[in-house]
Amino acid sequence: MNSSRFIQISKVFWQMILRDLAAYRPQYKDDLINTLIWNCLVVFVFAYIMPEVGLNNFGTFILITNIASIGFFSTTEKIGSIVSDLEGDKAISYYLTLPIPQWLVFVQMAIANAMQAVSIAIVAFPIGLLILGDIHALPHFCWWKFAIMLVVSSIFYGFFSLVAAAFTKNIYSMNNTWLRVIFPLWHLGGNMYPWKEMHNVSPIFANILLANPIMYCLEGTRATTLAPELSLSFWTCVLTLLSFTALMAYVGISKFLKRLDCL
Amino acid sequence: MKLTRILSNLQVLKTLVQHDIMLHNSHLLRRCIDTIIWASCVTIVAQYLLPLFGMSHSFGIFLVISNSVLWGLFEINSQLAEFLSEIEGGNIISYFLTLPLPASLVFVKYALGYAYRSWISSFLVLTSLFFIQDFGQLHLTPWSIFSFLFMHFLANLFFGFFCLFTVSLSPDVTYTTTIRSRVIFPLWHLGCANFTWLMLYQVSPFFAYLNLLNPMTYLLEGIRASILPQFISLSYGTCVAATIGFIILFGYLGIIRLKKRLDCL
Repeated sequence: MNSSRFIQISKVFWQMILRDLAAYRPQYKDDLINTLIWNCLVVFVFAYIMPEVGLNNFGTFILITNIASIGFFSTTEKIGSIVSDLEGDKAISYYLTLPIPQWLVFVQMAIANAMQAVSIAIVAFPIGLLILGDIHALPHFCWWKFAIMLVVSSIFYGFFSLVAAAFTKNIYSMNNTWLRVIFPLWHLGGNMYPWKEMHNVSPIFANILLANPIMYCLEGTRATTLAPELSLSFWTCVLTLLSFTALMAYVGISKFLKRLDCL
Repeated sequence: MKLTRILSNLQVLKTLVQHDIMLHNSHLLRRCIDTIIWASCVTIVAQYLLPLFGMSHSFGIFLVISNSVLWGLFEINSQLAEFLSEIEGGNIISYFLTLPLPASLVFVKYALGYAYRSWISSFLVLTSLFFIQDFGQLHLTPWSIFSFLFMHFLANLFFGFFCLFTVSLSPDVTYTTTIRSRVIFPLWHLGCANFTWLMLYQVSPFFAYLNLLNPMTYLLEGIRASILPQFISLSYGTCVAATIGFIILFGYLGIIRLKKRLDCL
């Protein structure tokens, strides 16, 4: 009985994921173009123009940071649609009536967002490498670690966006969420510097920044592609991110269950 | 008779803009907090971390002055979404279009209101000068301060009218992400925000000349020319003239396209 229930829940869950991916397909091209414009411009400027200001060999670093950040921006972009649905159509009410535990509806939302983010990042990566124009740009690249990190960080981003949406009161508060939470987390999360450099400047501040989960996403991805001694260790990043994911999942789902008066 | 009409139109326009300003001032504190958070994050990284990678130590102040203009460009994002939802909702803008005022002036009212919003909060970007603590790099004379304020004013006026143009390009609210990625971001990132035009010219003269079509180049070069003469690439006068030209161009295009879209007389 238990196993048949489990199979039924898995089937519904999988169908919901497929439905989300099918609904996303028409939007995929536009999202991909938007991401490619952003990634290519940033890599171009940092690889070819910024050396004039003294910032040398930064193109590869910024490309990897961008690839690790794509998921963050792609999933947080969805906060607006989640919040406007809560305020408007409340399509989520329908999903909450499906024959699966209600908390799984939110897990499904996070996973579907994570899958969409991965689908964009894996295309943006080789195109960014083309902009760099150097096939030996990543001598330390380890594909399986990179793949693990991409998946783990995207799942974290998916649950993080769930938390951010749960705490965003209405669509007008979106800008506040973006400027007060998302941007500082990203910009102080090592998007332009490795954690070890921050440690050289201010050990106290560097240690505080270890509480920033984005630091592990960016450091972890760099550990799989750039010289490993420059970043935090890969496994530390993976394990810490998994813990942060569990925390975000718990907080996000509890908050949503409360906000939507779920059983 | 005609003069009375013009004066009465201007009076109505003034009242509408004052109303916009009053409404915005009620949210001002919130917006100022956002500005300070954003500017501080960017400045701390530029001032204390990027020099470790070889970046010049004067990059911090370079960025603070550039950001005092850039903030207005980012404000377009929220203004765009707001204006588009007004158009889609239809009620508020339809009311303004029934006022005894030419339709063009209704759009001018929106542009001036948006210009005020970005103008007032972007001053707060300068609070991040606190992290620089070396004001010797700033050229502070009465004339340079006046030039800075004038360029800052023109830049925000430009953003107000440019917002009208971006609204006219967007079919609906969901298009705002596309405008941000395909219009606002390239204008910012290629528009001499992190480097001077001269540096770009040294890398690629062709690309540098092409970048002269980007209005952000003039806004950023102009603001730096006023107060950071060590980074001058284009003359202040050229930047002012080009900015005024772009304000007229985008104001004209935005208003024409919006009048067409909303079936105005």
